[in-house]
Amino acid sequence: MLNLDETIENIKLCKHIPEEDVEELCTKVIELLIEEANIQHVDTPVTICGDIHGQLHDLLTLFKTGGECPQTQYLFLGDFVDRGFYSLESFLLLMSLKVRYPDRITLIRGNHESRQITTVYGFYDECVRKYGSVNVWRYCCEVFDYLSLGAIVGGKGGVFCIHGGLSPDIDSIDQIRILDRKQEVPHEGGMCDLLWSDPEDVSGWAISPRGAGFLFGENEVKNFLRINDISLIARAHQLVMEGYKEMFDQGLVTVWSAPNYCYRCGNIASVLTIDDNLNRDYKVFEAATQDVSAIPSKKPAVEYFI
Amino acid sequence: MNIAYKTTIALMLSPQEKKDKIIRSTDIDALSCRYSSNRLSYFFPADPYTEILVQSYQKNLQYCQGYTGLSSGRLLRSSFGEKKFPLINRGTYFRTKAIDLIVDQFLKEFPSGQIVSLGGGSDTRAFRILHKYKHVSYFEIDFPESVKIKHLAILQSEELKNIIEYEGDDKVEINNKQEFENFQPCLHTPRYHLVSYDLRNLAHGSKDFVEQLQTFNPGLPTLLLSECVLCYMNPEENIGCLKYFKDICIDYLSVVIYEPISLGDTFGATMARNLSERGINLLTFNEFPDLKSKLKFLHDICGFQTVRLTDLSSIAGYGRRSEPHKESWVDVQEIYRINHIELIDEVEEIRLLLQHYCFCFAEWSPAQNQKHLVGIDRWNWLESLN
Repeated sequence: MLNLDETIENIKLCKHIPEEDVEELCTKVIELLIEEANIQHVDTPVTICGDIHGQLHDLLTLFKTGGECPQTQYLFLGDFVDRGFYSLESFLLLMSLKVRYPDRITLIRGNHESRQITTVYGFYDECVRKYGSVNVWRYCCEVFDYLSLGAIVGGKGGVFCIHGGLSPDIDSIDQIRILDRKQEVPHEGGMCDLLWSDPEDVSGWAISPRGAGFLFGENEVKNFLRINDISLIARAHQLVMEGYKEMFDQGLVTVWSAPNYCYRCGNIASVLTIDDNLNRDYKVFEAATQDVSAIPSKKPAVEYFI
Repeated sequence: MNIAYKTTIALMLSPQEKKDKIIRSTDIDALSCRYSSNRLSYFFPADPYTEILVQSYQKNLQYCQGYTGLSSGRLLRSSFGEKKFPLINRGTYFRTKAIDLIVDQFLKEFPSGQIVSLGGGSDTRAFRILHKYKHVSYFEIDFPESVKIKHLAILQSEELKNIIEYEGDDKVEINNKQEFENFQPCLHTPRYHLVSYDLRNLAHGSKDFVEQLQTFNPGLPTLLLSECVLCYMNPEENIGCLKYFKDICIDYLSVVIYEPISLGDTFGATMARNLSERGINLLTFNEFPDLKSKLKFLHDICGFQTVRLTDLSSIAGYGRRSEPHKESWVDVQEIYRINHIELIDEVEEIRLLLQHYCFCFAEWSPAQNQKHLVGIDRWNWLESLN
């Protein structure tokens, strides 16, 4: 039987979590997520976090920066896994907190919470390496399919939270509410775009260099804000060297929470707190440590052209 | 002395030998990137020769200085067995493509020109070029062990022997370190010369090196290629090497340099730290941190008359929008094909990474002769000086 508080402490220390415990945790978190809407309503105050990407030590710094859960309420915008060396531990920690304090933490889906992407970007390999089988990866992928697609913070006039951005197929948030989200992220269409698109200085919609989703411009953002009676789109998905970046007359913000992304990019990270009056407060933080414990002794994959 | 003790002694390298071993091993890294891109069909047409070089490493790396059967097996498994990230595959494609474009333009304007590749290791461009152009001479210069690996690869392949017009039919099989040590590195055919030499010595007055290049003709237009090679030499050695070739060429010399730059930012600082943890020191990284300082280096210090610079990010279409009258480096359809081989979720990262790799072209010819590679301005450059 899973002892949550003990498991949370073990995860923080990067200890091996038994496969049965992972299965039980995934089952419990699915029971919670299945009840959630495609667009979750979240009350203020809440602290919004961008991509984590398996950087467990930096996730721990994030909680020190923003305050521990449950004292601080959190909303994570997806991309918990891949790229970093501790994807599994990062995702297990977030799931454990979700099961332990269901009303104090909301997890929405990023484009990396997908079977296809995790086989390319490291989470699959990490699970197989740590457990010698694909079971744990499979349990986690089951969870991915139940994650909400987005959230609204603070109700009317509040903040629309999504991993990627807008879709030419979606004008109103109500259209998202009726999607059937419980599936692998499709290669195209509304659900795909919400997780893959990026804001850019373009007029209208443009092709995304990522090969999925779209680039969307200022007009699209302003229309979306107006139609849906919201004041801000908070999204993640794009590395921002300064940790966060507001665009389009502060109508959109990118929040990035993986400092020194991939142990390579030299960027700082941030979280965004929205208070009861919908004021924004950004807190920035740097990479946990140059401490060797953050990087396993095994040589990481080629990172540069040498 | 017992055998185990002897082996231990043989494996003990001096600090300089260790550094050089790491520099030579960057060739395995580069080869593994080409191998990965090629397997995923980034290159079109595919590169049929990379596989042959991989096999040569698989057979012979164990005999190289500082390796054992186990340690070489381990390095090769991790290099060629593990998947590369899409950004590495794409970057590898674009760097190769950009240099190919310059080489093609050079041989179009100077069909009897010659190409000298510095520290090209197991790169396969020589074979592709010799196969495609029947009048070019190609010279490759690298450390003895790297040259031996390539030489052995050629001897194993009828296809490569045909391409370089190798007449012999000797079969060489290396079975131990001693045989590898004794194996003669250099290989010469009328159009292809594989030469073992430590390029750092060019800065220290080895004036007669050119004799080792045998059929090298100082009177012919010459293109020098450095793909992540000069960056492992200190500034004096850089100058010494470039000036050496400028001094021996009496008609026309151009050089293509592709290598990392720090840009003086946090990405660059992190890169220097990460690489130095792997024992790799980029010796001009901070000295010439950006395109402007590279331009000054090539023009003011080395005396090249024409200099063009850009970065790999612009070449790959991640930079600022191109000037409309210029050709993009890679046409839109080709970029579309490349971008759809693998879904890429690292656009900002790839842009950042590729911005930190400069692509330089510089040329020199004596005043009375004023030769230029006219086609060089077909493409977009971020910095230029005539």
